[in-house]
Amino acid sequence: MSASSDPTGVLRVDRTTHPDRTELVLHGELATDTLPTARDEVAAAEADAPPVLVLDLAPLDYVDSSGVRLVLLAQHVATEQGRRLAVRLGHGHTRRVFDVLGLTARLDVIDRESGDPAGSP
Amino acid sequence: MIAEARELPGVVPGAPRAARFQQLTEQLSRGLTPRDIGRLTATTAATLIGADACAAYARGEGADELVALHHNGWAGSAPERYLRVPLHAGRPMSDAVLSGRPVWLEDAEQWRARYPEMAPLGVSEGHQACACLPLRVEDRDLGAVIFSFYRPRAFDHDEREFLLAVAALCAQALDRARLFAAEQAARAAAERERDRMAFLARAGRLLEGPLSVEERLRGLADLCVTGIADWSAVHLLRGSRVEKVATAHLDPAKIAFVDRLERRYPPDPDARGGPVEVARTGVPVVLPDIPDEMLVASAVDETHLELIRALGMRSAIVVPLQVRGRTLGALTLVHAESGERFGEEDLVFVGRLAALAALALDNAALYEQQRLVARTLQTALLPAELPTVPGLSLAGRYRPPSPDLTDVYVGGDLYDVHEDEDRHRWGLTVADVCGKGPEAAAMTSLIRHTVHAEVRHGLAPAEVVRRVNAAVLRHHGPARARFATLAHGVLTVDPAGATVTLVNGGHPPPLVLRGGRTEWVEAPGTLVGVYPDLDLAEVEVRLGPGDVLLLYTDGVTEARGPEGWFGADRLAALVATLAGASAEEVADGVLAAVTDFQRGRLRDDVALLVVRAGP
Repeated sequence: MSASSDPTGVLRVDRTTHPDRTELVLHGELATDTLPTARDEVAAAEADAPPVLVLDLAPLDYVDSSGVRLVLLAQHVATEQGRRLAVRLGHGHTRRVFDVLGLTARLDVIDRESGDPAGSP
Repeated sequence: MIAEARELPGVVPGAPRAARFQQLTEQLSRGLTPRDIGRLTATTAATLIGADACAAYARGEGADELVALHHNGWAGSAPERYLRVPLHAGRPMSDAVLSGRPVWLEDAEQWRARYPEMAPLGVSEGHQACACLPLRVEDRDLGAVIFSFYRPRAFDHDEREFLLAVAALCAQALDRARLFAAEQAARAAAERERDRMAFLARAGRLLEGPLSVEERLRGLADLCVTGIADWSAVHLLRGSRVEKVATAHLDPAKIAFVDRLERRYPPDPDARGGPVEVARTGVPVVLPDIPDEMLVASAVDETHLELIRALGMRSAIVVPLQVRGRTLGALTLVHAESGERFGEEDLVFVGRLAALAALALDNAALYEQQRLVARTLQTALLPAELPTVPGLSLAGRYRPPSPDLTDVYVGGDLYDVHEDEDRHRWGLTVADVCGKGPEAAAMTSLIRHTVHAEVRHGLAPAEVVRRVNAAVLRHHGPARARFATLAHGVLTVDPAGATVTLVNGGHPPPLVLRGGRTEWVEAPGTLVGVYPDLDLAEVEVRLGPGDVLLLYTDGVTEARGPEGWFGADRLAALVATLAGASAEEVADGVLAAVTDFQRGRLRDDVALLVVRAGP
């Protein structure tokens, strides 16, 4: 459940800031080798202490256990600081990964229903 | 006249001077080395001039002495006594060299008048006249030539011009020969440097080879005697002792001789300047010569002395094997029958060779340590063998991402089957810990042993997984989000097959094969190690004769190759083709398919557990 050593793994993170939330949209692969980028972006967003931090994982092609752990850590930080962490998982590979791990029910998933692809917090 | 010169081929004493001058020119043009030119000067040129004796000397650049190139026609031991002549103003040849002007002494009277101190020598053995001519080309001072005559000789203008012309011819030839010699030396140095680089490259390849450390060091010692030394040896520091691990010589009989010698006279561990001292101090030793006194001093008795003399050691170099400031041993090279010598200038090359060996040693030690840790951990993580369950067959597999990591990789995947003897049931577990390395291994071990203990307490699978969750949270805390997923079940057997009660903590769903059909065991649950409470569902799976249950980690379904994801559908389709296969065959079939799919290099480690009911 770990070790992505594929050298082609690329991750792009787009950040948008709204009055009520900050959104990070992740494209590409969220895995061991791209984790540092994602971790830096999440840490930077957390530093602004937005009321809601949205991690949009739906566009990801691949997420491994280290990526899942990043989400769990962000959730832990948000809970500790009395803020809200929400995720978009889409309905493809990322959603399946979180479903199998039993995490969909444990996270604030804003596009839970398949009829709500955009999902808004 | 010089007897030897008269017999020289090609020079006819009676021929006219111009023709003989031409012959000298031709002969000089064929002389390659400064010594060749010196010999031709002292023989052919001397004959041409009509001298009775001659000596040609060379002067190194800025040197304060002259070195003999050739003597001819002198009586007694004079040539041996004057192989090297210090430059000393007030002596005829020195004056010629230092002033750049010839010195003409026409008879014994002139000798006595101008060089009273030297005269007895100059006119000894019947010598009378003498011409000392500097050998110069442009401003290059190359040495001098002395022509001596038994009779007084009037050096008139024409005679002087002729002698100077001959000397100039010799000087030009000497100049050319010196340049040629310098060029040869430079080329030889470049070739030696190239050979040494090639040697280092060969040594580097050898030291990286897939052999044990000692085999590699023996290989290095063997390589050294194929070009850079007659003998070689490698010593290693082991604790407080220094041990010889390799000796090499091209002749096996000589190695056997040394072995016998060292058995009879064990080497003195405190011997000065030897490999033992170098291995301890880290200070290299160069012995351009090994004088007999050194052998006498190191010999225990007469027989020992005879034996070590028989080795014929002439020169040696001993360098420490050093890496990161530590000395691990010493490399010894010895020249014997080749007659070659080591000098200070060899320290850089031999030092580089030793550094290569030291680095290989150090890497091997680190690798060995890592392998030991990995092996120890892996032993704690995976069962040495699966228990025998009556009426069932079991197969387990674990594969690290790369086959060459088998010995050093500590993954976070686990498969296990263990018996709860009191209740005649067996616990089955496949788990996958987030991450890898020692931390993941510690958590894997915690899961394995917690499962063992709780199953033996008689707990049901869901409760076992809850206890595992609590244990992981206790050890790692929720803030770390160190999580694991596991599929766990208890198995009981009966005459008609087996029943497995399964629970799934965030793990990929198990797969059942019945006949040629497969079905997923859907029992969604929460991963362990993050939340204090878990959603878990126990599901009962019935295995009739020939039915197969496959538990696996996501290294199977998340495998990615040129054709994309391996995926659950591909797994199910593959397993369907394995109907009728044994548990071992199913495990091997799945592992091979996943490995092939990724062209042999796995994206993640893989664990599998196969349970097959019936015959």
